[in-house]
Amino acid sequence: MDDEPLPQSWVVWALGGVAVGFVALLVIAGLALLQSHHPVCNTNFPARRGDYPTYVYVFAAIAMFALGSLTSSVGIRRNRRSQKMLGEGPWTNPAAVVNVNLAVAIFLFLVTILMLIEAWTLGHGVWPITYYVRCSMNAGAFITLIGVASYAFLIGRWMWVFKE
Amino acid sequence: MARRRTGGGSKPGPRKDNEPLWLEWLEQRPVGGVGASVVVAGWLVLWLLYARHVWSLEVTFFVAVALLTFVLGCLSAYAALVQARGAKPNEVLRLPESWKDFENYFRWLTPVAFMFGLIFAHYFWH
Repeated sequence: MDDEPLPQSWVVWALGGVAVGFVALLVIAGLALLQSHHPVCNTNFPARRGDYPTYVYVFAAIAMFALGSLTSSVGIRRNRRSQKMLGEGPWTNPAAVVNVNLAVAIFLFLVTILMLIEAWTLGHGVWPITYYVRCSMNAGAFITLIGVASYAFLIGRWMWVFKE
Repeated sequence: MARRRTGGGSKPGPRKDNEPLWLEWLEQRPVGGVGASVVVAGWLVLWLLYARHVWSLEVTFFVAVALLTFVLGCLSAYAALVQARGAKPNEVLRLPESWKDFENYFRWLTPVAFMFGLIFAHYFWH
């Protein structure tokens, strides 16, 4: 039977707060872009370097990815939770199993579309996704670094969990 | 009628009367192996396209990643479909017995792919 404890209420509230914070950040950034009278970066060829060199982003992402995995493992050990595979314990519900696999499939198809857009734009002289990232790096280096680090942390926490 | 549930070495199970024949046929194929073969064959074609200067290195790289994620997405959708028909999760896309000894090493694929992708894609910063 399911022996997994339910998440504590403060965890739910904290996650809700983070979600609201992200939405607020998106609204603020969207409004700032809409009200801007000047381009936030070079519209022809956004600069390769912003306030920080590119390796700062690369190694920050790798470090946060490892940190995400580490915090996930520590949380599991501290809460003495057994690591259940899909189909075991609380994950025996067929609907949960099907939903997880469908969610993974949708995520992978989304990544496929993004990769094809990147390839097509690179081959046709249109701004690739990379340019938008560079543009955001020029416009707000620190905020972009936080975004990169947060994304890598979440990916590390969710997708690199060691099974004992 | 005995059958295999997955592509890649699976347990036999009873056939459901209402199960479509095409699904029955699909479940008896080594789907995981077919997926891996498609990726390898696709990458060889892409390498040829790059070697013959049809596509640049950047375009080839991103199409290669797209092919990999597309095949993985199809495998995940296949697993969802078969599980929705009643198969247990550990019966779908099982590793062949001869690969079991290497299973612990596969957990390193995620970080290796992430770091390799990040560092290699970083060179396409143009």
